[in-house]
Amino acid sequence: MDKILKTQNLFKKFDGISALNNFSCFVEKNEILGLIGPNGAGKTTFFNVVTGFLPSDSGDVYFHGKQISNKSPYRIVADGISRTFQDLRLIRQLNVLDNVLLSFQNQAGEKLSGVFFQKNKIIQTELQNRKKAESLLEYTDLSELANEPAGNLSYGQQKLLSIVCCLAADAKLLLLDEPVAGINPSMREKILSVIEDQKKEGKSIVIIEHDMDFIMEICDRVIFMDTGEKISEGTPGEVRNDPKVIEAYLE
Amino acid sequence: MEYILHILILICIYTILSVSLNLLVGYTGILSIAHAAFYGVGAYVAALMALRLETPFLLNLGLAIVCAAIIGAIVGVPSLRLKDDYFVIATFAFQIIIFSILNNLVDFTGGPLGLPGIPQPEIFGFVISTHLEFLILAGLLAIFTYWFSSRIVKSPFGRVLKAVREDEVFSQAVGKNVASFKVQVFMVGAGLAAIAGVIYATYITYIDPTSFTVMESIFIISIVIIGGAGNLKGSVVGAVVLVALPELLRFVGLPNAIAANVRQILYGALLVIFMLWRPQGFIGEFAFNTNTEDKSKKPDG
Repeated sequence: MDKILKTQNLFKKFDGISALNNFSCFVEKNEILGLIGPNGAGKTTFFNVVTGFLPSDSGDVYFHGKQISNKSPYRIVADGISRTFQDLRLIRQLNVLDNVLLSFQNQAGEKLSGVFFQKNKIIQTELQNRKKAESLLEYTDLSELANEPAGNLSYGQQKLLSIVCCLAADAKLLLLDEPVAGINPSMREKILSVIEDQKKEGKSIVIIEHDMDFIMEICDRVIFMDTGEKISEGTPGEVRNDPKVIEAYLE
Repeated sequence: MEYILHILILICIYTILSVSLNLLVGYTGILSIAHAAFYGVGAYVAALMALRLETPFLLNLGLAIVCAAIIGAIVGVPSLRLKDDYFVIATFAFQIIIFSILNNLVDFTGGPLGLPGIPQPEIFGFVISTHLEFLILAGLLAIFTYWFSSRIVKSPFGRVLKAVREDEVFSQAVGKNVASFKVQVFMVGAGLAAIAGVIYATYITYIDPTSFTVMESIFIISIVIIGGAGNLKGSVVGAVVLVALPELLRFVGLPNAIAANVRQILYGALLVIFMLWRPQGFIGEFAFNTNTEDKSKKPDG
């Protein structure tokens, strides 16, 4: 199998506290990887390092075999890695459709020269993107809310919308930070099915989640981490029954 | 009649300044108090070119815009990395630096004595000299500025600016080069402000550094906030109100010395009143001081 993402010996310390301690892992193509562990285990730090929001102290990140360590976040998105945030982030004042339209990459209309000299091209791409955005919203049952400011959506809908934004960015690898935490059961099912569909389309997904049932249900492989280290790795069943994991949770 | 035309010309100049500043403050959320500095750069570049090199007006106008934009880039690249408040201080420092240069480089800028006798604009052999002709020129340039800015804010580029204003982290997460967008819009704002400077210099035919102080920057910010940040029409309304309103004081019969002070008080009072009761200005969509709304919405779950 292709290893789409590979990290080697990542270290990251905050004021002496290890958030990542010699952390190495990989994500295969077409795989859903669960990242679990107690609060402060370094899961979100791992996302931040991979997506360029935080520089690592040392270690390497490879995407499709190419080194992407310490690249700017926007370049990493362009390479094909998109993420969501634990503390919901969307442009709350822009409407739902605009949030999705914002997420498309390489838009001619986002260049100043394009704004004034490529009117037709902009209208064309904008129309194409709009169609794609509308079909994405239709697929996720958000169509009716297309013209609502994103801030007016319910918590669950906003979480779903932030995943839609990753899809619009045409990511090959999605990093989802607690996609179903604090969400009602029907929305949970919706998000579950969206994630499974993405896998079917050949994408890779890494999920941070405390909801163990969700992890068991959806993940092909699970990594358990604590204090920045990989404690256990394997199928969901293996990790769940690993004595080291049980010990860490009981501590 | 000339008096009314004079007021209208001033309204056009301040419309250009406030519309261009609105791109930064209202749309991108970067509060610059160096706008008068770019206004001054435009005025001085055009005036010096016309006086020393006797180059034609349109060339001076173009060069003033380019110079201001380049200076905008030089200032913007390092300072736009700074977080909100620190950026404001950086632009304040730049504003002071420009004023000091204009005030102290006596051989070049005339220092505190300023530059008198700036020739009136000549466009394709047609000399603009009467108030009415100036109003037409200023009006056309104001319309151009408005058109240019509205083209930007309605484009996908403008959508990114709003995103940057609301959440820089999310903007990066959807693949936008936030730093580059900020610098670009800062350059545009600076270049457009220079247009106002060129009109002012050629209209008054005399400039000195006191026209381009931090007080002037704050006046332009007041127009943007009172008119409505994040709405270009608001900036036009704001310019009309803030330029015309104090003129009414002339007819109240106050002595000149008092009227000038009352004017300052009026601006200050208006700003406070708007910040308290109508932070989005007359017709703005971006409430300037209420940006601290609670981001964490409760789960519905």
